[in-house]
Amino acid sequence: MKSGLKRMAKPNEGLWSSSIVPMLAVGAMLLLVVGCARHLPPDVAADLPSAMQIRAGFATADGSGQASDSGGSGAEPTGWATLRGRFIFDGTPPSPAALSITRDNDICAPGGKPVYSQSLVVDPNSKGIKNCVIFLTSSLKPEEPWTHPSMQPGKTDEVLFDQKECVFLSHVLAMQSSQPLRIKNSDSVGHNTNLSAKANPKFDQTIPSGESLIYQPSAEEREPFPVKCAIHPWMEAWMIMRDNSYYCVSQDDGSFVIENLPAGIELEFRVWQEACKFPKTVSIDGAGESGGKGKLTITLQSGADETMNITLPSSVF
Amino acid sequence: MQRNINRFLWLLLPVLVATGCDAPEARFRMNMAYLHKNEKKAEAFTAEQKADVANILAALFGTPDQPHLPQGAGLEDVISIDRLKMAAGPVGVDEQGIATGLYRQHCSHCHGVSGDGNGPTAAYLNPYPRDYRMGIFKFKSTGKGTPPTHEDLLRILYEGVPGTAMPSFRLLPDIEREAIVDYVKYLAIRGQVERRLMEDIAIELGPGERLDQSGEYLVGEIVASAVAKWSAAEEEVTEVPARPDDWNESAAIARGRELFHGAVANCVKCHGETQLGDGQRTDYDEWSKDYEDFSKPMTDQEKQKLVDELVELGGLPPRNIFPRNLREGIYRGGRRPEELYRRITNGIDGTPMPAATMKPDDAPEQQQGLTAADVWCIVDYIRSLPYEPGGERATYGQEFKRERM
Repeated sequence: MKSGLKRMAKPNEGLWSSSIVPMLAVGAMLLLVVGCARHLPPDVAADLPSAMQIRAGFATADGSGQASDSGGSGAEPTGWATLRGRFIFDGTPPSPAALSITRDNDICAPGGKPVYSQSLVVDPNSKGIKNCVIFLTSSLKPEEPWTHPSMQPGKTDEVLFDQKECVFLSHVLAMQSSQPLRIKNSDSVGHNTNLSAKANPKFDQTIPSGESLIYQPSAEEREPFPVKCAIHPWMEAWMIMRDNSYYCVSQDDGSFVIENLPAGIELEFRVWQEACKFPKTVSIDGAGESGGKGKLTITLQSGADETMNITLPSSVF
Repeated sequence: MQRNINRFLWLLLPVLVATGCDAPEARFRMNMAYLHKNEKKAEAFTAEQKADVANILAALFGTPDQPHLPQGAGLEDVISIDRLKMAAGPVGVDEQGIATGLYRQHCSHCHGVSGDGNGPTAAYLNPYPRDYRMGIFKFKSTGKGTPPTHEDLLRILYEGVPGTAMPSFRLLPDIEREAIVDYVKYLAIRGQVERRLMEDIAIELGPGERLDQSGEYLVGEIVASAVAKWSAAEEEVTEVPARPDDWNESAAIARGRELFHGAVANCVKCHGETQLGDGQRTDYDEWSKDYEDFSKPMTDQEKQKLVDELVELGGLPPRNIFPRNLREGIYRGGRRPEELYRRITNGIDGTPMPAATMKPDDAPEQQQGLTAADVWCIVDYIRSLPYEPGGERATYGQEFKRERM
């Protein structure tokens, strides 16, 4: 009341202040209406005419799509051959990081024993890389002369996947997609095994101490997927399922061998390593060619026993 | 004074005319975080490769205003195009007086126009709204890795998700809820196809190589393989057996307590000795882990760098996922006994909660695993926890403060 009376007594000042108040009010309302644009990161918008062109192509593709399905341009394999070699680390291998064991220490790290990451295990003498995967990606008919009887799909013998002292005993596991996988817990604590499969059903179950469970995959995976334990978050392993048996996980010295490959046709392989996944570049010593992203192509002669050493430069890790 | 205001309003007019009140046309945004994750795996995508992803998605699924379902992938068995059109587009009413634009009216402010769980309000919510684009949903009657059934999603709309910002939509007419469910499935499948296209560029194609644009590959292979899981979901519903006839609730609660703390069910590892959900609070859910597994050992600087990257790509800063505090009596997936039963036997998709190891009722005693009756005991025990008199909570009261969230 008092200030109101004062303002009335000074008309000039009152006029000035009464014009600024509505101005601010209107300005504030204007800001409210217009608002501040939300920051959205740049992305790529669809170009509708191009999209309609692609859509139009779906309807007409039925007839023309069939031609490419003959598989292997008519060439028939001429026999069987073996491919062997080693995965070699080029450079100074990093020392493996110690994992932090945050629970069940008496079982997972008895006596305070350090547990090391196995994402890149290099043999100090031979520089061979353990746990690299090489698998055939060329689609082969599942019978002779394309697929050797010993490598054909449909194996049904059980594969064991065990865990002890909170470590998955097979750090990288390759198997046929028809094989049952026995997931075992040899520890005295409960574990939880979580398979983040892509093509196959996911699996995430508690495995009581000493118990085992069967997981039955059905489809081929395009790349290895991780296996984790939510109770012991440092535990990790990798797995891949393939239809035929043309795959190998490298040994301690980095060596691998795949036998009974079809000879006389071009074969495409993929190589994979946990720390670099599909390596951008590799160099090949011996037969074969590298096409980037871990792709290798080679044509083997019948009866041959080819050696292909695969060197991964430290820059891909 | 009047003249001053008038003059000011005249000045304002051109400003309003210049800025206007126009809203840009709604469009789907690309999953830049997943794109960049794939770039890190392989090499940077070229402008053509990125444009291909956007154009192929528009060819397959249309735009937010003009949705489309490609023929030949079995999508029509999972989504009704008529209902989809009801839910799509700007908010309004059609000639027959039927509401349209339901998704944008009821959902998009949280879940985003693209279903990325990053609408304008998302950053202020805890938990964040669901990002549909991985096709993973938590509260459903099917096991991990299997999409929800149509009924499951309807139930979420009907009940809401207790303890979160997701409200109930039971006041909407049935047909509108059905339409929204179809639209959510549409966004989920679209998101899964988007991810698959990016993976294919990263895994299969050489540098700069373009995606195959044939219907055989795009519809027959990519869309069809995503849809197959959705159409199979209806047959994958976990049956919930009835409680045994001679049920003694207090005995069941006692047995449930034993199982909860035992090594077979192992609930105690995460939900804690106190049941306050304090056993394991460092993990992340699948949506947070999608860009990078933040649960891996890393320094604070490394983590901050990754979080900044993710936010710059349009993601939300990841948050730890906490096991449910079982003493609050709030169950996001529903409080009915059969719902809790399924949470235990199926686990919760997208989270560290695993499925229990089950065994048949007539299995030998020494075989490890839970029978259906065991699970019912745990359910009864859990349901008793919020009402447990004094006891355990009082003991831990000071150490473990309840968290409101």
